[in-house]
Amino acid sequence: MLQIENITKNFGGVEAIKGSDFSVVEGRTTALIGPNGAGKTTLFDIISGFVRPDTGRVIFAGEELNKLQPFQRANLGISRTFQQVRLFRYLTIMDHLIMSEDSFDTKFWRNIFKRPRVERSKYEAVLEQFGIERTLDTVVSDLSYGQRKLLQIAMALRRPHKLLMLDEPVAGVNSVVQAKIENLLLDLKSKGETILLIDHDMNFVRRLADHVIALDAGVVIVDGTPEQVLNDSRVLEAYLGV
Amino acid sequence: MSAYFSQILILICIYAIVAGSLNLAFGYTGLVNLGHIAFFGLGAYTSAILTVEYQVPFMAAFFAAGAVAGVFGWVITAITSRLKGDYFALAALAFNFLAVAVFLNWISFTHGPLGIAGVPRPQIFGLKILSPEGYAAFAFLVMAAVFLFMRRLTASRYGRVLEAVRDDALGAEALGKNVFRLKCQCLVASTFCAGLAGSLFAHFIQFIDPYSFYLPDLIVALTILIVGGLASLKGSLAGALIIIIIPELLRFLPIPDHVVGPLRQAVYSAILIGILLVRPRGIFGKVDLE
Repeated sequence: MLQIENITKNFGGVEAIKGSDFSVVEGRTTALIGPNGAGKTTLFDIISGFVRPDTGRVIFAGEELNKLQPFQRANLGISRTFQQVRLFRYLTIMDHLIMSEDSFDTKFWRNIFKRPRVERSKYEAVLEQFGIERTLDTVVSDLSYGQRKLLQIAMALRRPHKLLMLDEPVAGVNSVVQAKIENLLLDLKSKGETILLIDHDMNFVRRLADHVIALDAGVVIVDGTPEQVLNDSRVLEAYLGV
Repeated sequence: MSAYFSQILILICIYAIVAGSLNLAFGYTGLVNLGHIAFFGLGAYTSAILTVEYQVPFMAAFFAAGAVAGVFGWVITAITSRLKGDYFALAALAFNFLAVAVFLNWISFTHGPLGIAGVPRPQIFGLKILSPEGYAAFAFLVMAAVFLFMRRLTASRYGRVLEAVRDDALGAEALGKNVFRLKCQCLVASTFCAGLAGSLFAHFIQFIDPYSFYLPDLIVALTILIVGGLASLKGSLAGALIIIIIPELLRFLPIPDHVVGPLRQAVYSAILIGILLVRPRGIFGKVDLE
C-alpha cells in the first residue's frame, strides 16, 4: 500500500531523517515508534505532503506522491490525524463532520445555487459511535481535549480513504477516552483497515500493531512483529539509553 | 432634504458593499487584504474610462469594473500564494500603493492627478438615472444583490470551508481542500464586489482622482468592518450605517467647515478605539480580531 524509499530530510543542517526505507502492508496495522526527535512525525508530514523530502520517494497505491500537494494526497486516500489536534475553532462539531465527508463544499457555484439536506440523525449516530457526549451544534473550542481527539479520529475515518495515519492517538487523554480509542481501533483492525500509527505507549502498540518499525535519530533501526521489536536491545537502548 | 438623505443612503450602500466584500476575504477566509481599496479604485477607473473615453453602455462598464477588479484579485492571490498572515497583508497594502501610483502616473489613460471628470449618470435599458432618489434606489438594489450573493456563499458548506481555511489552512488541506484555489476564488469574489462598488461610486460622484482610493478610505472600510464585526455580513451593514451617519451629524454642529474634515477622521478613530475596548468582536462579530 505505502512504500518509503531512501527518504532524507535536513532542517537547517540538522538531519531529521537519514535515508529511511519501510513499507505499510494493506489491511495491517503498522506502528512507528521511537524516542522524541526520532523523526516519526517528520515522516508522517513527508507522507502527507506537508514536508518535502530532500531525497527519496513516497509511493502510495502504486503512485509516486513526491510532486503532489497535501490536498491531492488526501484525495488519493491518505487520511491523517495530528499530534496537536487541528480543528477549526469557530466551527461546530457538525461543520467538522460534514466537511470531512466529501468535496461538495469546495464547489463555488454549486454551493450558491444548491443546499443539500442535512440529516442530523446521521451525524448524531457518529457522535454516539465515537462516544462524544455533546450536541452537534457545540463549537469545538468548547470540547475537552479527549473529545477533540475523538472528533479528529472520527473526521479522519469519515473521509473516503485507503490509509489511516494516526499521530499519537491516545497521547494526553484520560484512561476512559484511551479505552474508547483503543476499542475503536481494534474494531477497525478487525475489519481490515490499513493503519499507520505513532505512539509512545508500548502496551497500546503491543495490543494493536501487526508490524512495528522502530526509528532512532532518523534511521530505521529495526522492524518486525511487536514482540521482536519491543524486545530488541537496539530499541531498549534508543529509549532508555542503556 | 430628500436629495441629502438619498446621498447618505447611496454612500451607505457603497461602503456596505466595500466592507462586506472585505469581510468575505478578511472575516471569513482570514485574508487580511489591506489593498482592498485598490480594487474599489480599479472598478471606479474601469467604469469611468469605459463610459467617458469609449462611450461603453453603463451596464457593460459596470460589470467590466467588477471583472477587472476580480482579475487583479486573482493575480494578487497567485503572486502572493506563499505569503500568509501579516506578510500577505503587507503585500496587499503594497499593491494599494502601486495602484495609486499607476492612477497618478499613467496620465494618458487615467488623467493622472487631474482625475476623470464628467462620469455620466447610469443609463439602464434606456432609462437614465438622474435624480439622487433614483440613484439611491439603484444603489440599494445593487447592494441587496451583492449581499444576497455573499449570504448564499457564506451560509453554504463552501462558506464553512472558507472559515476552516481561516482557522487552520493546514488542517483544511489535510481534509483534501485545495486551499490555494479556495483563497483565489474568495479573493476574486471579494474584489469583484469591490469593483462593482467602485463603479457605483464613480457614477455617483461623477469625478474620480487617485486620492479617492488611498489610505483614508481603507481606514473607513476597516473601521466599518471592525465596528460591525468580522465574519458577519449583518455587521458590515450595521457598521456602514453607523460609520457613514455619525460623522454626518457633525454637519449640524456649529463647527467651522475646515475643522469638519479632520474631525471626521478623529470620530472614526474614536469609534474604532471605543468598540475595540468595549466590544472587541464588534457589534455582530463572530471571530476575534487577531
